[in-house]
Order: sequence, then C-alpha cells, then structure tokens
Amino acid sequence: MSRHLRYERPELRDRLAAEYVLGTLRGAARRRFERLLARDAAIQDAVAVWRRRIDPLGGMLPAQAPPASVWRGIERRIAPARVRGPWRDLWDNLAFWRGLGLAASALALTLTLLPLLPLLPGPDMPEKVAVVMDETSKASWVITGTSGHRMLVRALEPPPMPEGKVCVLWLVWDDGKQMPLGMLPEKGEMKMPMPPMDREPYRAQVFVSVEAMQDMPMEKPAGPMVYKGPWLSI
Amino acid sequence: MTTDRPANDDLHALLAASALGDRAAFARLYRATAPKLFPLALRILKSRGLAEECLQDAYVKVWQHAADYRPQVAAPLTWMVSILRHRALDLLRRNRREQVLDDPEQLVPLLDLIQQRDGDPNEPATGLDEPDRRALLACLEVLREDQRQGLLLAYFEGLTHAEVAARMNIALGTIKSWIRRGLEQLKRCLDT
Repeated sequence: MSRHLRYERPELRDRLAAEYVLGTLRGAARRRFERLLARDAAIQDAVAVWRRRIDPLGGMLPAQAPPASVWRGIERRIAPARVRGPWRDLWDNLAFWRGLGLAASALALTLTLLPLLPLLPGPDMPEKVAVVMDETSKASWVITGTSGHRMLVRALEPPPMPEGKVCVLWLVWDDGKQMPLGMLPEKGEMKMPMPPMDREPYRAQVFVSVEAMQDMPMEKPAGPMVYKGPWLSI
Repeated sequence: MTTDRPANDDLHALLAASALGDRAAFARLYRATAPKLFPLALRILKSRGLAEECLQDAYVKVWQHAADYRPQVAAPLTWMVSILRHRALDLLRRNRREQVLDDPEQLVPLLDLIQQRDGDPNEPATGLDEPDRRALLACLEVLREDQRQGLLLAYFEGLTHAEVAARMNIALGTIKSWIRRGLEQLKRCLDT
C-alpha cells in the first residue's frame, strides 16, 4: 500500500494532523505530510480542526510587546511599490494567480454592465479617442467615441488578467462623479453603448479599474485604478 | 468573561478592513495582537532576533492572506497563532538552537503561566474566542499531569518527541505514547 493511501485512513490522518499542528511531526514525515496537505482537502480539514482545537493555547501567554523596529520592518515590506507604475503593481499582486481561462474571456467579451441602447440612425462620425496605456506608455486599448455618443473599443495589447478578473472602463468628471461604461475586451473590437446621462461624456476623463467578474454590474469601482487619461479630439 | 466578545468582533473588523488594503486598520490589528504573539515566538525560538524576524514574517503573511480568513473556522487570534507557529517551526528547523535547559523561567509550569491572566482585569483582551479558551484550559486540566506537561512543552517550546523525552527524563517511546494519548483525550474532551 502506498504512503498516500495510508493517509486515507481517517484515524491515521487525524493523528498526523494533530502531531503536525502540535509540532512533533518533524523531518521527512513533516515534509511528506505538507506535500499531501497542499492538495488533499480531507487533510486540510483535519489540520484546520486541530488548529482550532489547540492554537487558542498560543494566545494565552502573558503579553509582551515587541520592539518598534518590528512594525517598521512590516510596514516597509507591505508598502506598495509606487515607482514602478500601475500595471506592474497589479502584476505583482496577481502574478501568483492563474491565467485568464477561456470561459472567463468569453464571458468578458459578452457581458456588459448595461443594456445595449438601440442604435440611432443617421450620420455618426468618430469625434474623440482615448488611449489606455500601460506603465511603459504602450497602448493597451483604444476607445473611439462618436458624435452620436457611441463607442468602439479595440484591444491592442491588454495586460493578461487572472481568472475571474476584468478591466472595467469608467468616466469620471472633475467634480468626482463616476459612471461605469463596461468591461474592456480581452481581444478584438467591441461596440460599447454610452449609458444615458445628463452630462457631456467627452468632458470626463476615462479610467480603468480591475474588478472581480462576480461583482458585475457595479456602480462604483471597488478594485485598483490602473489607468486614467483624457479624451483627445480627432 | 463576555468582555472578550467585543474585542474579538473588533479583530474581525480589523482583519476584514486589512483584507481590503486598509493599512491603518492593519496597524491597529498589529498593536492589538502582536503583544500576544511575540511571547510565543520568543518561547519557541529562544532568540530575540529570530523571534522578531518570525513576528515580521507572520504579519506580512497575515496582511497578504487577510482575505482568506474564515471566521467560522477559528477566532482571529487563533488563526494568527497558526500562522506564527508555522513560521516559528520553520525558522526553528533552520536554526538549530542550543538547548538552555536550566533557564529558571522555563521551569515555571506552563499551565500556571497560561492561567495567570485568568480573572486579571488588567490584562488586555485575548482576542481568542472565550468559550474555546475556557474549554481548552478545562480539558488540559483533565489530562494526567505528565501527559499535559509533555504536550505543553512540545507546543510552547517547539520540542520534538526526543527533546521532550530528554527534558522530562523519560523514555522516548513513553513520551510518544503520552503525547498521542494526550492529543486523543484532548480531542474527546473538546468535542463533547
């Protein structure tokens, strides 16, 4: 019987989980257990239950304050890396996540925040353009706005998104008023309806935030803003 | 001691805010909990330098994983203890310490030490779920004293079976079965 199979016996699994949490499971046995722990939900549950049982112990020692240098070190280590630009920060945060799956990108292309407006007949000319850029000033998307307030979005080189995350396009006016326009496509071109509004859309700036797909549709951005820029006249 | 409830709810709120990237909330979480975790790191690692490194690593991990915290699984401080002890045991393995067997502080029975704050109104709130804490202390009392001592030495000092055996001057096989039975008894007592 293989070692892995032996861990499937609940009593043994529970005993090893207990000794693992206590700390007496050491050396090769501990390493083997941790490898299984990483992928076996039953072992993870057993460990979680043992931690709940005995880790309250660890908080019971008489209090003793650490030196102030410890907090300074933590602050340094959790500080955002401002100098490197928004996409890079984002990438660092998300790098360990899985790449965007096919299902997610298909959804991103088809889901929009708002119902499509009926297309208006008559002449409708491109009037404004906004270019969303990454930290190296490379264009990720280009958005064309028409005189009839319709938009066409073209993906050039969008940053890779982790599964379940999307880039959302917004308008923001000088007084802080924000309005969602829709999810930016992973690739290709997409018509994006301009929502009905009592404001001039081209007086606003466009910005992009990264959001969880399940939070869609949303009225206010919840995720990090990764780009902000103006409309330019064509 | 129902006074621990609000403290616990505060820690829940601070953890939730930290998960959203609120640094001020995380600083408050640190101030509220670090004095409870630092003595644990010191006791396991027996070196101020290593204990400080361990505390720092553990809080960076708490910051990064605050969104993974599940209130239904463990009280906030219990979750943080798990993170800290995991890191402490890692550091311990990499830095084999010199055993200091005769440090008089270590001779204080551990059960007395962890019960000290019981009923002491000046001690800060624990951040532990109070029923969990009480149940655990009560169940430890049920254990035979030598079994309890073996368990607590392993837990608080990060000792191996062999090190517990040497410390208590008991045969290794005996220690192994004491600890195993101690854990089984603890589980039975806590689960009823």
